[in-house]
This record gives sequence, structure tokens and C-alpha cells, in this order.
Amino acid sequence: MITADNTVTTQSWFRSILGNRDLVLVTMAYVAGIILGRFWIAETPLFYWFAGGSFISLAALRFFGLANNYRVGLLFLVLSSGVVAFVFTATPSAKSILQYTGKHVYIEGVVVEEPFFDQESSAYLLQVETVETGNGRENAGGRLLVRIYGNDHADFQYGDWLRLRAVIVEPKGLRNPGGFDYRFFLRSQGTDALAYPNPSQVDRLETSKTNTLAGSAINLRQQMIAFINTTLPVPSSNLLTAILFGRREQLPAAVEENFRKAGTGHLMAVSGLHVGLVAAMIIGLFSRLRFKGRLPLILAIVLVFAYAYLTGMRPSALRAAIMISMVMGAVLLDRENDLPTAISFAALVTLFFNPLLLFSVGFQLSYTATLALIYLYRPLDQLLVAARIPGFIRAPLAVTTAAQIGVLPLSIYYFHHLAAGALLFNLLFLPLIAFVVGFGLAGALFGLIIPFAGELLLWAARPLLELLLFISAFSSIPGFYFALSPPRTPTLVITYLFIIGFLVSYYSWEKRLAARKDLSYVAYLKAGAGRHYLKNPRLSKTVTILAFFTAVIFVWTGILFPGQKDLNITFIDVGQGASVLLETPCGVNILVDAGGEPTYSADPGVTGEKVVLPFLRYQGISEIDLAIVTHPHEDHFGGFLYLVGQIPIGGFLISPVSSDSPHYLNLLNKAAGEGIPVEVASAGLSWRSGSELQLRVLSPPDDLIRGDGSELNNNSLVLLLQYKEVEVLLTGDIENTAVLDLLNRYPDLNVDLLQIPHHGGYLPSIAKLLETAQPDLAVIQVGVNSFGHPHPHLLEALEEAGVPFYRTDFHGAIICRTNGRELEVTVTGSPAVVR
Amino acid sequence: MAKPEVEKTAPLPTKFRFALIENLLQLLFPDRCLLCRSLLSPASVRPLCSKCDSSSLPIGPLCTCNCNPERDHFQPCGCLKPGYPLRSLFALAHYEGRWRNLLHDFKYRGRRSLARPLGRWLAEELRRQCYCRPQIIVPVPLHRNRERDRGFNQSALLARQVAQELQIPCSGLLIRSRETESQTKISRRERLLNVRGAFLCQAKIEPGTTVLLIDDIFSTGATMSEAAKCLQRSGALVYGAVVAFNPPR
Repeated sequence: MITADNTVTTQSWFRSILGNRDLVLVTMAYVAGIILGRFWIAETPLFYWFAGGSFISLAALRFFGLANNYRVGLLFLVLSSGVVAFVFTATPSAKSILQYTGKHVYIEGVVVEEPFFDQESSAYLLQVETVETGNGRENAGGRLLVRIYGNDHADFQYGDWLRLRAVIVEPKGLRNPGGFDYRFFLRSQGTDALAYPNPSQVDRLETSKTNTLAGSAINLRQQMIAFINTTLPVPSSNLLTAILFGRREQLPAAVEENFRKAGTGHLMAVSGLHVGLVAAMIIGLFSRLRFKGRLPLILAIVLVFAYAYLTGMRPSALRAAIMISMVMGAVLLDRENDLPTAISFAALVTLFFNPLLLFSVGFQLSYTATLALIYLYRPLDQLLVAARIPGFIRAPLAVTTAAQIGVLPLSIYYFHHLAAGALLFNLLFLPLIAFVVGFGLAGALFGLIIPFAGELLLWAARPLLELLLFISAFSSIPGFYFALSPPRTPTLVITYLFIIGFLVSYYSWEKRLAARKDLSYVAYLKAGAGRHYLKNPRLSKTVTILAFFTAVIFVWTGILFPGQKDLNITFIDVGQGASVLLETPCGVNILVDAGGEPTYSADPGVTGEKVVLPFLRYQGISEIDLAIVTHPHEDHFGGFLYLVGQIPIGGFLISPVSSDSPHYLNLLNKAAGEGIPVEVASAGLSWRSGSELQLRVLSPPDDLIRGDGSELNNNSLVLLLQYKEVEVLLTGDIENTAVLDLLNRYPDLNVDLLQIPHHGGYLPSIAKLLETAQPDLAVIQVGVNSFGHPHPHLLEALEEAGVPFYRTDFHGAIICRTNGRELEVTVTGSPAVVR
Repeated sequence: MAKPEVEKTAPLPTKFRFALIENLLQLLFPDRCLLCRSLLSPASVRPLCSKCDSSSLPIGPLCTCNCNPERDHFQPCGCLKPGYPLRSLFALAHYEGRWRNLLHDFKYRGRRSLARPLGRWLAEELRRQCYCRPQIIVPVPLHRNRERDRGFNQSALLARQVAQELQIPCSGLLIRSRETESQTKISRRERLLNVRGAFLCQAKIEPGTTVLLIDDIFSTGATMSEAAKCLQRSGALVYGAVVAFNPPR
């Protein structure tokens, strides 16, 4: 009796959410399969949990009579195909160019996408055809991203057949916790490897043949962009190009920044909004021309796909095109459209062609925003009705709010920022964008046939573009955009589960409302939402047991994994350079160096922006209490150039030897400008926190170190961190002279963890250092470099001494956690793509 | 000399192919309940969800005279005047409440997607009750101008669906030769005059053919009986089927 009741309740509950949307179920199974595939490759423990969860869900479907054997079998098949699809696409083919990683080779291939040009380089995506090594010429496959620095040779086009000589570089995977997995990103774009050839070593063998569909699409796009560029003045033309085609590389960085701060970055990513506008314009135009029946609908479907194709078939544009076609297809076929089914179908099609896209930010934002739009619109609209918001503003407000709520957790998770003005700016921009897309697209198209008409339309769009630029500038007002520590992945998942839970209860209330008109949502929640579960003895027992176990698990996690009671030392992977974050048990954060690009290639602050700050945010650090610059070399202080002003810094501790590098002076000026105290440190200085933790400066002595080698390097600050029984030595870039001096002054130096000096550069006294310091573990902070770091002699010495060591260029960030007795090491790696 | 036997890859039977496409479309555009628009379970025969299904049953064959048709449990009351062109009428529902809204959506708000479930349901009920075993199905036509304005003829959409379901030919035998005023805007009494002589039979029908005349709503029966009269003149036995019956008050 109970079972029957139970089954019926679950069935109706299930129906109220899913209906009989088989396609939704199929898509969910496929998506689960893709996630399973990723866990299988990247995070095996999670794989078993998730696989177990999936099978229990399938079994539950069967048990509660929601699906028969045949359906459960089918869903299982779909799930497995998701796993296979992911593993298959994530693994480069056997013929891939990746097998030549690290070798100098000659490569021939075709440019398969429109090249990207920016200020200092040009990038080509090359479909590799043949590879020539010392052993001869071989056929090869895979795609290679070729970046050529220097603009003098940037004249290759889509379809060109190129021959180049370069070293094949494997892209970096996940380097730091919470960082960006470049390898996986490129893989999801179908790209296997990178090459940075010298401009003089790239030749064009044959010019382009643009008789293909893709070629003519690129051609058309280029012509349209060229027309826009000749008609409109600079910031407007670039903004229009970015809005219409999502191509931002010509857009001034400040403008892009403003739009991002306004929370309207999606306007420059050919979102569903654009595609929807195109469809609406076509239908509107035809109804103005008094066309009726099927022709406008069919034309709209064709043109919507044409527009998505023209802009490069991004996931968001493809999603919108498919969903719009389904809406129109329903009318054409005299059927009922169903939005959840439509979005599922779009996802299924997209992920069928590329399962890796499930993990791309663009895909996730686009689908989450749309799902939120579908499901959150009604509750929000109800709320606005209750708040007596007038009708004309209600719909746009509800739409914008729904989308914003949907993407908010995700965007904080990925971008570590909250755009507080997003709602306001989106509401303001929405109508403007509609006209900009209309005038702009029509103008750029007409311009190719009747230049005069095109110019007129573009000029009509210009004041709107100027207005967009003007309004977006307000986003830099403080308070509109601020940094936040991103939630961890479980928190993110739980947040979305809460939203889903709310929606489930809301829609089941809406069902009840049909029977009882006066039932308010709150009253429903209070009186009835959970009642039929609790009324049922068996179910309520299950709920109680589940609640009990959850509580037990929470308590035990609290006992087994107590919060920040340990000392955390993270050797951040900043490439060639050094940066160590110390998080003390009492919550003090000390950043020793911040990495930095060498000056000859770029702005040294980039590492701070791209690597160090995102990592700090991920760690939940909102303030650096002490920043230590071991010595004034760009690969150590560079990152601070960006960090100063972005995150509060309590004070700087710098090496006594200064440098006249303009960047270093710039950093000191910036620090002074922000009012950050800067102290010169030398041996003898120490800082104590409680009785158990002490940070001491061991070197350089007051009279500095003079002798062979670089004066700057030798006078690096050497730091000894003592926490209870654990001692950690951070060595900066000291060279032989300083090492000998250090050992001389501290003959009884005995440490547990040693940072190998100077990125593993040649050090004759390494054997002596290891012998004296007796480290249990060593860390080499090193990246790709031309200095020959780490030196083979040094690696030999480490092996001889039997000291285990980690390298940031191999292991990514190296995280050491200690309670003052044991030292526990975890490394960040990203095996998400099979090598 | 005999040609060598070439084994042809047998094409999928048409019916099977049709079912395949149908299933695919069903997956992409799941059917909804006509009344509450919630999604249907694939097992449901009628285009109504279990809740709405229990609240509205098809009312079946009716008598077309102005007597109370439900009085005798839907048995023809025998009061049909000799010579009344419609021999009997079949209806799915009463024209009231949600059904009125539904048919308004269908006719005036262009929800063409309603034709399929309504037509299929009508066909299902006709088959189940073995109603009149028609040989040909004819929709009540709209005038050319009206049809162009509306974009479709709701009766024709229904008729096509019913015909397809019952596998009987559907033919646009009738045309509306005269543009008439909308029946909804005039009184019951004026309606008969309004449609008089408005229909024309385009082709000959073999005498004795059973014809099923299909429309969306039956109110006074003026339109339907006028159309039926036109068919009857050619010697057909005319039965009627509608979605909703608007009983005289």
C-alpha cells in the first residue's frame, strides 16, 4: 500500500518537473556521461562517486516506475556514449603533431581559421599535413596554433598553405589551483600544440583558395568589417565589429574592460540575444511587407543559421539558432514548441560535435543564462506583479534579472568579480543593442551592394554606439565592480542545487494554485510543501535517516579536516620566476615574490594579473599582509606591479640592493602612491607570530655580499620560516658566493623544506648546501627558459643526496601543508587531456 | 538471358518510415494537454492529461435538431425532420469554458498546432464508436478571402488530420462561393439566411456515398446544414463531426 502511494507521489513529482520530456532525459544522461568521462581521466576518485550516483539515479528511475527497462537501457547507452565521446575527443590522435613535442621540425599545413592579429603578434590555426624531421618527411595530423611575434610578416590568410620551422610546444595544463587549464581549453577548440616560429622561418607555399563555404563566410565577414572600419571612426567601428561578430582583438582594451565591469561582456560574444534579434528583425520585416505563411519562417531559420555560421558558430550562437529554429519549426509543422526540450536538443547537438565544450565558460554561461530565463522568469514576474511594477518595465526587468541570477554564481566562480551594476547596465543596453545590431548588420550588408545606403545605416547606428561607450564608462565608478573570492566547486554546485530546489517547490506550488486560487507561495511552503513526504511513514523514515547521516558526515569532516589550523606554503607556478605564498595558522598571508614576465617579451605585471591574483582570489585571500621582494629582478617582483592597487598590501620588505630598472622604480612609486610602507630588510630581522611561528631573514648581512656573480642575485633576501618543528628555507636567487656565506654564518642550518636557489641555476656548492641543510624535500621554481635552468649538475646532486624534489614546470603549483610536525605535499597537475 | 538477380536493399516500408519521423518529431516537440498545456505521457490516448481527461469526456453522437440532445443518453431522439440534410452529428465537447478558449485560440489566434491533437482525438473517437463509416471526408470551406486573411482554414486542418488518421480520402469538394458575414456577429435567427446558398459543390459524387462533413463548432447548425444540403443534392449521405457543440438555449 505504502509503496504504491510512494510511487505515485514520486511519479507526479517527477512529472511536474520533467513532464515527459524524453529528450531532456537523454540530454541529461549524455551530459552526465561527459562529466563521467572527464572524471575518469582527471579525477578518478570522483569518477566512482559520480558513476555510482548515475547508476543509482537510473535504478531509481526504474524502481519508481518512471522508466521501463527499455528506457533505462537506452539512457545507460546514452550515458556510456557520453563517456566514450569525451574520452575520444580529449585524446589527441596517434598521428597528432604532439608526438614531436620539444623538437625542431619543419611543418606544412593549411590555415583553417581566420587569423587573429593584435598589436604585437599574429596567430594562425594550422591544420598540419606533413612534418619533416631529421628522419625524413612524415604525414601528421592535428591542429597547431602558430603565433608569430612581430607584425612585419602578418599577411597570411585563411586557406594559405604554409611551411614553417619551429619547436612544437605542448600547451600548459592546469598550473595553479583555480587557474586556467590552457591545454584543455585548446583541446576543446581542436588544437593540440603551439609553435612560436621566427617570422623569417614561415613561408607561404600556396595562396588561399576561398571557394569553400567557410572561406566565403570569412570573406564576407572581412568585407563587412572592412566596410564598417572605413565608414565609422575608431572606437565606434571596433565596438560595432565586436558586437556584430564577436571579434574583439581590435577593440581598445579600456572599452572592453568597461563593458566587462558593467557586466555586459556577453554583448561582445555573439550571444543568443544577437541571434534572437536577427530572427526577430527578419520576421518583423516580412510582416511589414505583408508576407504571410511559411516563407518568412523558413527564411528566418536559414538566415539565423547563416548568421551563426558567419560569426564562427560559437556555442551560444548555435544554441540560439537551434532554439529559434525549433520555435519556428513548431509553427511550420503545426506542433507545440517546448523550450526545455529545445534547449536540450541544442545542447545535445553541440555536445555531439564537441563534448569538451561542456567545460567551456562560454557554453556554461550561455546555457545557464537561458535555463534561468526559462524557469526563473515566471517566479520573478509574479514577484514584480506583487511589487506593482508597471507592465512596460516588468518584462525586460524580469528577463534581465532571471539571466543575471542564473549566471551570477558561475561568473563569480570564473571571473572572481561581481559586477554589481550588471542589472542596471543590461537594462539600459538592451534596447540600444537591438538597434545597433539591426542598423549595424543591415548597414554592413547593404554597404557591400549599395555603399551609400550602408553608410547611412551605419551612421544611424553611430550615436547609439557612442551612447554605449559613454554609458559603459560609468562602470569604472567604484562600487559597480569589485573583487570577490570565488566559491569552491562544491559550493557552486550546492548553490545551483538550491536554486533548482526553489524552482521545484515553486512550480509544484503553481500546480496547486490551479486548484486553490488563494494559496500564497509562503503559505504553501509552510503548510503543505513537504507534507506528503512526512505524512508517509516510510518516506519520512528515509528522510530522517538521510538527515542523520548527512549530519554525521558534516561532523566528521569537521573533526577529520579541521579548518585553517595549518601552515600552508604554496610554490605558485609562475613559469620562469618565483612566487611563494605563506598562509600562517593565525591567518596572516605573506607573499614572497610574485613572479613576472621577463621585460623583453611583455609587461612584467602580466603574471600578477593572469596567475598570482587569480590564485590568491581562489585561496580566498583578500589582503596580503606582507609582500616580500627577495631582489629586484622582473621574474620576482614583476607580478607586484599589477597586484599593487588590485589587492590591499600591508607592507613591502625589499632587498637592500636596489636596481635602476624602470619597472622596479615604477613599483616603488606605485607602492608609495598607495601609501604602502616599504622596508629594507637584512639579516637579523625577524617576525614572530605567537610562540610557534617565526620568520627570519638570514641573508644578506648588513655589509652585503660582494664577490663573483650577480650582485642583485647574491643579495636576495633569504628567509627561514620556522613553525614548531618544521623549518622552511626560501632562498631567492642567491648564487654560489651567497650560499657559501650563508653556510658560513649558519653552520647548523637544518631545514625540512628547501627552495632550491635561483630556479635551479648552476650552483657549485649545492652538495654542501644539501649536506648542511639536510632537507627532506626540495622545490625548484622554474619554467620554460633559455638559461638552462635547472642545471643538470644540480639535479644530479639532488639525486645523489637522495633528496626528493618537485619542479613547478613539471608539477604545477606545489602546495605544502604542515601542522608543525609533518609536511604534506600536494601538486597541481592537469591530466585532463591524455598525453 | 535472365538478368542476374540484384538484391535490392529493401526500402523501409512507408508506414514504418512515417512512424520513425513521427517519433522523432514527438521527441522534439512533445505533445501537450489541450486544456492545461502540461506535457502528456506517451501512453495517453487522448490529448489530455490525466487530470483534464477525467473532467471532460467526449459527448459522442448527437441529434441535430433543437431538442435537448443529451436527454436520451446521446441516442438520436428520432425527431430529425425528414429531409434535414445532416443525418447525425458527432461532437467531442460542449462549447463552453476552457473549450471555448481553446477553439478561439485555434481559430482566431492562429494556434494551428491544435489541429493535430484535436483531429487525432476526433478520429480516435469516431473510430471507437464506429461512427457512420465514412467513405470521404469533407471540410466546411471558408471563403477564399477569409482563408487568406486567417492564413488557414481550421476545418480543413481538422479534416486532413482526421482523414489521415482514419485513412480515408479527404477532399475539398465544397467551396464557399459567396462571402458571408461572420456567423458569430449575428443572431441565431439571421444565421440561416446569412449562409443560404453560400456553398457550391465542385465535383460530382457517386450517389449513396457516405460523406463526413467536418467543422470546428456547431451552434445553430446553419452553416453545416447548408453545406450538407449542397452535398446531399449530389446524392451523398452526409454525417457531421465537430469539435464542440453549442447547445441551443
